[in-house]
Amino acid sequence: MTNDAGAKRRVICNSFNKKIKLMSSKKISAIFLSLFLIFTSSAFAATEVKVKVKGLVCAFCARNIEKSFLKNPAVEKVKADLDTKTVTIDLKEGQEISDETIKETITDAGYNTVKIER
Amino acid sequence: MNNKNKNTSQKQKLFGKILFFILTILSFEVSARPVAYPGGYSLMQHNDYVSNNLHLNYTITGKDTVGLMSEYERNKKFWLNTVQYTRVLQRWNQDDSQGNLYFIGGAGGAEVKDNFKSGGFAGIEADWESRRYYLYYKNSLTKVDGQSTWFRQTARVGVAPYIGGYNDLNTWFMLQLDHTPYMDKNFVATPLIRVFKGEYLAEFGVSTNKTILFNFMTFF
Repeated sequence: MTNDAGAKRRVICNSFNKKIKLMSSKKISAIFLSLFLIFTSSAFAATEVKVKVKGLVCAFCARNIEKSFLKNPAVEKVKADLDTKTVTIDLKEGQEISDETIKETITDAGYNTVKIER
Repeated sequence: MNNKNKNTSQKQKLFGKILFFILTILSFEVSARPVAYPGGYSLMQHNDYVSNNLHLNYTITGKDTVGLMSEYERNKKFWLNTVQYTRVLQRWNQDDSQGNLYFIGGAGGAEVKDNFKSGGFAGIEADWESRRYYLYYKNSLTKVDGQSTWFRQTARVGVAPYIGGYNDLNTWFMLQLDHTPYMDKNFVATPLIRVFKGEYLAEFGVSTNKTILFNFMTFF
């Protein structure tokens, strides 16, 4: 009787230990996965560029800026704010756009670049 | 049989109405920022007591556009079809305003009494606007072979009743003054309303000589 009870206890303990080990390895995997996602997402996060523009008074004409930037494959989204005279360019993940390209696009659309903030 | 004829007649009338609507819409042009962005197209339509006009523009550089312009001279009763060139001569970008000066010119031909005649035009266009006020001026000198040369000038003042945002429906109240020395009524005034949202702009007005003005413009 005593031997049987001891054997049962050992089996229960072993199974408990296995569960604990399994949970720990799952937790560690989850932590590693989270860290990986955090690091990789920050490395490829979409970038926002704010451009202060001179002459931005007409909402209809300012659409030229949006249309023009959207032809650039690096650009995801463009917003213009006539109150702050700012054009906000959202870039696609891992994409870049140079200051020269921004200035040229703004000039070609009929405006002047005052300041570029990244 | 009679019913069949009636249906056909009704269909023809409906088709006629649709065709008239499309042709009416397509015969309008509006002048607002004729130079878009490199690689962009703008479609402008205009109709007033002087002419019906359709103009498709392609922007080559930030300062140059080429386009096709087809205009029906209502007074002289002929079509003038030209290749048009527009050049930004000067642009003034300020913190709260923008001004533009353009050269416009076109060369092509007109069909006068079933005869093809060469023709063309040249002129100057200027605008200045803030978010509240708008000023505009345009003149042009047109010449068609065998016809007298004619001059036209147009000026506009406008005010926005409210300051519209980038994605809002923007509204402007404007007064257009036309001077056409070659016509019986030299001066005609047209109060009009301009509305635009996104890349679509439309204008509607009634002139002092009881003619409707309707303009439309878009770019893509």
